Amino acid sequence: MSPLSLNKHTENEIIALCIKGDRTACRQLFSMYSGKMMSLCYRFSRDKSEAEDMLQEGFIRVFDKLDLYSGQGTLESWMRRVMINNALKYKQKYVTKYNYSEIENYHIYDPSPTIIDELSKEEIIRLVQTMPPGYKTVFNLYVIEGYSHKEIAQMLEIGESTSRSQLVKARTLLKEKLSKLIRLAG
Amino acid sequence: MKNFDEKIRDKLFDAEMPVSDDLWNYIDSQISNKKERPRYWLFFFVSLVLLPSFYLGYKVISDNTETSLIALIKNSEPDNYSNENSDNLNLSNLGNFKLQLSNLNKIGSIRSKSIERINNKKQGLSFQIITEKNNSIDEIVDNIPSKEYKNLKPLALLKSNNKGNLITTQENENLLFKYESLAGTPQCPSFSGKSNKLYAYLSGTANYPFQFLNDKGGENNLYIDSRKSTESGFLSFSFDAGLGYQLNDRLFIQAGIMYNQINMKFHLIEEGQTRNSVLISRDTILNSNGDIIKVDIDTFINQEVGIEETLTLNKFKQLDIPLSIGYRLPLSRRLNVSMSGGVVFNLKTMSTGTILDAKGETLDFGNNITDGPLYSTKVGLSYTGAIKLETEVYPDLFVNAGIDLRYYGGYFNSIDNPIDQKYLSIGLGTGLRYKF
Repeated sequence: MSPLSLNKHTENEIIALCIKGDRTACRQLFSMYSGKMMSLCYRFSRDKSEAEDMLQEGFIRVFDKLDLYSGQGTLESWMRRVMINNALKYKQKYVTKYNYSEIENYHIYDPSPTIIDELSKEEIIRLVQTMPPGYKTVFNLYVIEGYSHKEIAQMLEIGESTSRSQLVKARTLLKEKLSKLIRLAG
Repeated sequence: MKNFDEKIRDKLFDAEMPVSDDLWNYIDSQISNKKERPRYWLFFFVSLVLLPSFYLGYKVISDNTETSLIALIKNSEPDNYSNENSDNLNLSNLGNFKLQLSNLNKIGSIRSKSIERINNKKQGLSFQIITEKNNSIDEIVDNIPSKEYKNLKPLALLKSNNKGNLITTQENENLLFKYESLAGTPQCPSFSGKSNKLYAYLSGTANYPFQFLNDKGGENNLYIDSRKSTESGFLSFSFDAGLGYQLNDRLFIQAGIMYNQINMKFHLIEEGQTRNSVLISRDTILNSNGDIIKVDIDTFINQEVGIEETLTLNKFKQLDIPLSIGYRLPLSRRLNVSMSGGVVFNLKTMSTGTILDAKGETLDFGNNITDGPLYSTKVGLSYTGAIKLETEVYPDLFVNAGIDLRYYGGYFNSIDNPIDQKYLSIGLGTGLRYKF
């Protein structure tokens, strides 16, 4: 069932049942939002396995804290915030200090924005997901989740200037990756 | 640029990915575990303190509502008790007496027993017999099974108030008169306490330690501030067992052996920590032999800035000898309040954990760290104090609960450590005491 097909009353009823510990309602809530949240977690993770771990921990936290959801704003927005906070904590806990990754050699090329329309969601997610952790964290938070640099600086406990520079580098890297795709396609 | 960001956001914000059903099964199990999993350790410590407290509270209430009888039974034939051997015989047989009495009315017990001496001669046995029902003294005597007590004759029937004090009655005065006639000496009988004054005790305390740091040279205030901001007290505990001696009805001394553990939480959050990710640009080429090989073209080091969190439990484990003197004040017939104070000699202290050094770096300490000892293995004297409620739950067995205080007079740090470090702990304790 898509969350869009639910009216507020139905969603509130499900939330109330979840708080009371109704497993069927919890399962329903999971089914409603797990696809979107998995996509979110995947963008913050290194691979699918890590994304699944983040999703599990995130939903456990959602059910644990559901009674704190005030009803202001949509449940999805609240859940996204919980998932993002959880993903950031997960990375602090588990991600090793040094990460090595390989990228193929390519020529720097500024792609047309239309190239984004031509790519599928899965291809773009894959590109974002393969960026270095610092890049993709700031990129995800700023570009996709809509946080400001000030908010990101507080969440990651870094300076605003660091957030900005990471975003610039992330954009550059993502464009380079798009360029490579264009080159391969061409 | 904005166009680029918006297009990416439009593509990804509502994107969904397939999720395996197995993920839900795990979440489901974790939710149920979390809701059903109690904090056993917390439950244990709370029970340790609260259960005896509830029991004591119950006893206070029940003591105030019951009517008790105290009987003084005097042997009518004192000559039977005139030789020394009768002491052991009669006193040891009191166990049967107690058992039988208890079986008859379920709640009767003997509070004290003693040999009455007049003019330095044994004149007989006296008992304080407590019943929660209004048993007559004849009923009690009739139920004494042993032949040795068949010739016991009740001399006094005294009623006690709810604090255990005797209320003098006309009947009592008459009986005392008879006693004087029997003894031939104008002395009044007394309810003497138990002749056994030795007891064993066992106790445990859950406490919270407060740490005091002082600068020896007056030049390390900033360092002390950094220590205080990273170290805080954590749930600590102690257990001790030993022997005590009742000096008189109220004063007592005791000594034993104690295991004590001070726990301190070290929590450091370091901002602006960096870590590097290495990106290797690699090209696939044909070499001169015609083989396809990969060649590193460029290496790019991406530096990320974040936080690093260190959380450890600093433990100071101690083996001690506690000595104390105390005073038991009866609040009611079954309830005492005991106040005690004393000293604790530290035999050995073992320390492990992490602190900040003067440069702000983490520094591990412990017996297996070879950089030099930060802490002493003997910390000298501590001073203790306690105030507890105590009640008798079974003949000669007492349970108590109350507040424990311990101030560590000695410094924990070694001579080379520039910061003086000592503790004060406050906690809730409970224990058992058994009179031999």
